[in-house]
Amino acid sequence: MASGGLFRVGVSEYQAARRHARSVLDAADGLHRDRTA
Amino acid sequence: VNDPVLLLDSTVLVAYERDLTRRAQTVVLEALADGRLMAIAALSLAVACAELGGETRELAWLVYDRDGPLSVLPLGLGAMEVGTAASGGGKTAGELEITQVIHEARATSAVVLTYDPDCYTGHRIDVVDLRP
Repeated sequence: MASGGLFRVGVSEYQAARRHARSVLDAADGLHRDRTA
Repeated sequence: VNDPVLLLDSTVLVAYERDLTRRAQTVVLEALADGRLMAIAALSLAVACAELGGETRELAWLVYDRDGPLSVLPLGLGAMEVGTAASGGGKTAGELEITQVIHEARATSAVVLTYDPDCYTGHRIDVVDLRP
């Protein structure tokens, strides 16, 4: 899918990207929980 | 499955293609690893491809994977509702895209991921801003 793109960045950059991704997904889950509560 | 459907708009697709920092791609990768459902409105894909001017190599890997995690939501007869809903405002491709995204988000209770959350201000849908 990313055609190897993730391997072209450094570890720290990938870790930052991963933290960002988790925060995005957590935010989506939070909105969904609020709506369905 | 309690995870929401994630609806990626054209700003995310363009970022995914051009992603030098890999942030947009990592969001998709993490969602994939979680087994989440992701979707794209057909008009988002059209607007993104127009914006990218044919440079769609990364995006093609994602959308042409039949067993992949992403569904493209067809417009079909929904075009009548989308066009009618958009008729009071703008009529550009980008504005029609936003109208379809809102339509799909309401229909599927999806959470919209975007780099331009202001587009959805005033509409009762869930939006997550991807900007760092």
